[in-house]
Amino acid sequence: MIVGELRKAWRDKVFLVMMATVLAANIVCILYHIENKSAYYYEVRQQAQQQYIETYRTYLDEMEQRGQELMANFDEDTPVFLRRNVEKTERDYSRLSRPWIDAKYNVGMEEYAQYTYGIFFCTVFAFVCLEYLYLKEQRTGRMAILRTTRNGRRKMLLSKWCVLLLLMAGFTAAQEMMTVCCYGVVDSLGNLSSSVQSLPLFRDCPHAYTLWQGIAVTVLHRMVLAMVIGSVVFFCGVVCDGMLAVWITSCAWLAAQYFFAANLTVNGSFDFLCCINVFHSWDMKNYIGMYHNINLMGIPVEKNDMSLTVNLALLFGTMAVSTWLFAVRYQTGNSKRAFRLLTWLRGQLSYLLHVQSLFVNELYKLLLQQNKWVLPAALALVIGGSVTAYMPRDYGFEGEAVYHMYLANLKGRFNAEKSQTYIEQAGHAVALLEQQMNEANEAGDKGLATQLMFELWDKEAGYQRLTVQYEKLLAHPEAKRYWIDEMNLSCVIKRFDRDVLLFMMSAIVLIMLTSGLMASDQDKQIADLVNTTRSGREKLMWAKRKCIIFLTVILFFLAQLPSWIGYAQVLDLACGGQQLNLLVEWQIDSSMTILQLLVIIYTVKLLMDTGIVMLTALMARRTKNEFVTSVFMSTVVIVAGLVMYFCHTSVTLLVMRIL
Amino acid sequence: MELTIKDVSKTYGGQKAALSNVNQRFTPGIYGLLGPNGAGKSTLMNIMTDNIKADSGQVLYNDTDIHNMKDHYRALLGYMPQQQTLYDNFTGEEFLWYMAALKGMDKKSSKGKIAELLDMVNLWSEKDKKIGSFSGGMKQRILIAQAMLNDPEILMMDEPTAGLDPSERIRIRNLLSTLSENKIIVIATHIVSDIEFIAKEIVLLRDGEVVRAGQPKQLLTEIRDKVYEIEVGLSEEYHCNRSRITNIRMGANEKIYRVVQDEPPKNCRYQHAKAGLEELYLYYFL
Repeated sequence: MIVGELRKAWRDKVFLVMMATVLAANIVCILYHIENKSAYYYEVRQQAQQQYIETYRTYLDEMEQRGQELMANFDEDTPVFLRRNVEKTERDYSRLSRPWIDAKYNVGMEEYAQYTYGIFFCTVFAFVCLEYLYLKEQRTGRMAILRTTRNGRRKMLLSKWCVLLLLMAGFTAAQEMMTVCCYGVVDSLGNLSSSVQSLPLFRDCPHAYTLWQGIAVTVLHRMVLAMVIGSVVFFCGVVCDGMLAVWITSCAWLAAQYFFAANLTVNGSFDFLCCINVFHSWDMKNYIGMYHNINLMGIPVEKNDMSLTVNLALLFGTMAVSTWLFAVRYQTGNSKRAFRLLTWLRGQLSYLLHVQSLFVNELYKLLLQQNKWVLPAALALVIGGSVTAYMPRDYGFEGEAVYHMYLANLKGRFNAEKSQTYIEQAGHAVALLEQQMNEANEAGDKGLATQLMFELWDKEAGYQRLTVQYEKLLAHPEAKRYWIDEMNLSCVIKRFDRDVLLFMMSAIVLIMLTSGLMASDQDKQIADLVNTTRSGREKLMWAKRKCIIFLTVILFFLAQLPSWIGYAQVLDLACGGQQLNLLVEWQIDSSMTILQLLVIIYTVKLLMDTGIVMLTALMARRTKNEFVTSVFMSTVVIVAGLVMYFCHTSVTLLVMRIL
Repeated sequence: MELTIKDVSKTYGGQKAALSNVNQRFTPGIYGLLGPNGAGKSTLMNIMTDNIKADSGQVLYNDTDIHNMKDHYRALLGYMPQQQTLYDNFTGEEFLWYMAALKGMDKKSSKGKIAELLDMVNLWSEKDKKIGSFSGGMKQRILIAQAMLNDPEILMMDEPTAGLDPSERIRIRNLLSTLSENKIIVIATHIVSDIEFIAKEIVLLRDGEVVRAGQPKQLLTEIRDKVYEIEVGLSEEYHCNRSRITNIRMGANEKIYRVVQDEPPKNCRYQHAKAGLEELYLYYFL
């Protein structure tokens, strides 16, 4: 029966595509979080690593010494757990006689250890498994047929459980291997034979693992956690009456776990809740790099052992309870009270939509009947989170802060006289600082001299940027000139990563909405019925086209909103009239204004979105298959987005490059 | 009011013809379209509803080609398809509102008509439930309701009573009879009892051709002397083309076969029986 269940899942192409999509999403997430690191970064980290290596043995010795001191001070009143805890800690760390710590800094290994988003993709896959292993059969009525067979109760459900656990474990293993490979390729995992304590992240690990053993143990542990997540989600699906209840209970458990992980600490009163938490345990830094014993009635139990025991108990417990419940009862599919409320709400909503406009009807059908409102809602969340990404930062280093300060005072229309006066004052301040530094040097006050020297460097850096900008503005008296904080402007316009993300997300949402509009009637084989109605052909097609145009425009404006807010922080409408050839940062030899450039950029973006939508509509009408159209066009957009991302470019930067 | 099919033919992908030189005239009344699977009933329905184009021939409404009439023709049409695939997440009422919008009906008349039809097909109490949760019979009824929304002059119904219980079937049958005075109603069905008593004319379709067409009484008269009830012993069997046996009844001491065949049975006791549409169906299609 297990083979049969597995075969059912593997033969479902949609299931395989969903699985591949979630795996691909994980890779995209990894690539999105990989940051470019300079040689300076590696140098600093290597120095820190060297320092760490030199102090590690001392750290262990100090820990041993502290333990001995504590033991010596214990008396009869000392709590039993405390004594046992110290003894256990001493025993555990005594295993680490001679860890081989590699001096070379393992960048890729550290990045892998800090990447914890995999748990979210495992959770998504758990819901996919629930849908394809159980809910789909229940919804289509096949479950009722299966239940009438001899093995159609406990054995059948246990088979589904086994397949679920296999799929979750397999998916997690594949996901983790891909993650390891990604970081290995991008940043190198270093010498995997060196001990896990080579990384400062795992300083407190009491096990004599090598790095590759650490990876293996982490992957195995994550496979177990994924099975636990899958079990809880599956349990909710089997036990709860109705989709709404399934979502609420499973999301409530996950939310509670996430809340505990985010707000509790291992050193607090609720260390137990923190340690058995799946989100907490998933983090490699916590799992391998953190040592803590939980007080179990006076006996110290290592948190990892406790976590494993509790989670395995949860896994088998959910399996047993749901199998028993499935055998003895069968749910109707709709939670009664919640269903009545939803029905009433829906009745009120649909009353408002008793209009004869096909445009309104098609939008209602798409967003509510096909439940595609989720897509713009998800996009809105991403857009909301992107607003801060386009905000000009205060400063990345001190010199920048000085520059921003100067521009804050000069911002607006360029006035040669006032600007000259201000720059002269700034120059005097710099000269004064230099004088003070020299005086401190002559007086032998090295500390003050060094402090003043750093301050001078920063001020000089900011002052030089200012004077270069001033000279350029001065050289073009015929043009409309403005003082613009060019560093902040560059921050906004060169935010290619967020540009690409918003482009991909908005394009994919548009693709799904468009294919839903154009192809779902054919998919549902209801096109024949609709075609026989008076307005079911040309008029309906026009209504669908109007919907597409409406959605394209709305989503375009929403997706560009974060960048517009960013520009609004840096430029006002008047400053937008500055010619590009007056800007120092960009080196563009064009008399076009900033505003004109932005209009061109956003027009190109709108045309791109329009092109994507038109291609999608064409493909949907030709293939008459919503799923194929969505997958194909989304893949094209994702590939285009990834190419732009790896080339560190975006539509904005491409347009600027052309200019 | 007249719908004429003139020399209509249709072939799919160069294979055997789905329809071959079909000629038929429809005037107000109920017409039954009878035929086995693959006879061409759905193809004919799709051509008459302008869903597909015939390879040759014409469909004329009051002597005007329906292709030239475009949405004016569809404004007169009500179609009930065989497939029950619908918008599962629409409630029954929402689905009728949507269809009313597609049929170009105004809000005021839609409201009254939807309420009336929901009551007529016994779905008023279920109007706020999603179609996905409907039983097969309920889906059938909502499809009937949507077909009648715009008070069409031409009603095409593909298996209208499949999945309905006897009382609902009778109700629908009586409704269709009432409406047939000034409408052309074409019913494609396998349930011969649905049309036996209400159809003005029955069209028998086989392999894309019209085999026979005429009033039910007239068609039944043609096989009047070909239906027999044959008695054999309990342990015996009557050997003939088994697919023409319409009924086998077990008596106390005998087995009674009801068969339709051209020649009288030999070597057994028999009597003539009254021919029905089932015998007509078997006679022409098996």
